Amino acid sequence: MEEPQDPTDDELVARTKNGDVSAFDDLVRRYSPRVYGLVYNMTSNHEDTNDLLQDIFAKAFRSIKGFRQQSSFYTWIHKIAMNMTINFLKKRNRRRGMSLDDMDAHIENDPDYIEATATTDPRRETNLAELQKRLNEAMQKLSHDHRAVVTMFDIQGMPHAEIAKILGISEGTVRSRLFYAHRQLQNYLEEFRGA
Amino acid sequence: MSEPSEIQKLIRLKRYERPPEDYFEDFLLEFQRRQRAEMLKRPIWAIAWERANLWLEGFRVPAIAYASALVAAAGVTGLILTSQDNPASSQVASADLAPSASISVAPIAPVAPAASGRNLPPSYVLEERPVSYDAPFSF
Repeated sequence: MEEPQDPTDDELVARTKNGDVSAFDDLVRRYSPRVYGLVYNMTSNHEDTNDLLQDIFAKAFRSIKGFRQQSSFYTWIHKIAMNMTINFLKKRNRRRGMSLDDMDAHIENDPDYIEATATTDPRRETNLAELQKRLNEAMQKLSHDHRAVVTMFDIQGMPHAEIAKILGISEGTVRSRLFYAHRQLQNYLEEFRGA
Repeated sequence: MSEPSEIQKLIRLKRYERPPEDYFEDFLLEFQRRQRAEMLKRPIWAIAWERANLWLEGFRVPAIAYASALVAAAGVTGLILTSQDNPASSQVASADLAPSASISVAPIAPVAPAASGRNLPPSYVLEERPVSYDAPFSF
């Protein structure tokens, strides 16, 4: 939760439009972790994510005078990020390895992780790296559109309405893409299911 | 909302894939460095345009005033162009009218005084005595 004295996004945007570069720095501080998560889960590559993140915020800074604030800055920056990431992925025709060195240690306290790994079934006695590797592989097999909704809904916890705004589609389309993507992922990750 | 499926629970584990703690501060520093470099590399016309806009903003001129000024400027330009066209056409007109103008304006040349040596003012009246009445010979 933000401190009461923290400027709102709208205030920071207005100050940036008036030439206050430091106000945009605050927006970068505020949104770079979330946008990083979005881009990383689309690309599964930290280097690509880092480069894209620089380009995304640079583009946002250049375009902010044209931002009419009909949507929130949150939606606007995510829309830029998603468009640039999908364009990048269309150009990238090769698959890169995924680094798992930066896994957050808090995952070990996650009940979903405990449930997924703590079992006597030898097929499910897998380490974190193996699980993440399979998850990333499964995600990469989804189309860009399906991966986008899974990333925003399942990983980032965005509501359907927000996803619909960012992608410029209806909420019904968001739901149907999620349904299809989950079914695809279930097929890819069959051995991790409790069947 | 319904219970998340097992596959959703697994996917949610991906939110723990985060960069190191100091990554975002380093990211911001790199962003600032690139941003400042880009700002310095901007072309002169872009800087001039932005400064002109800022200068105009200082007058708090409403947007419609710019449109009015543009219309006025277009009108003045049109007027100037029209007036530049007019001298040429007036020259043609005066050339066409030149003969009649010279007829109507030019003064009638006075008749030269008679050879009698009298210093008379110019007159358009003929001598009251016809030349044929003078004596042909004088001895």
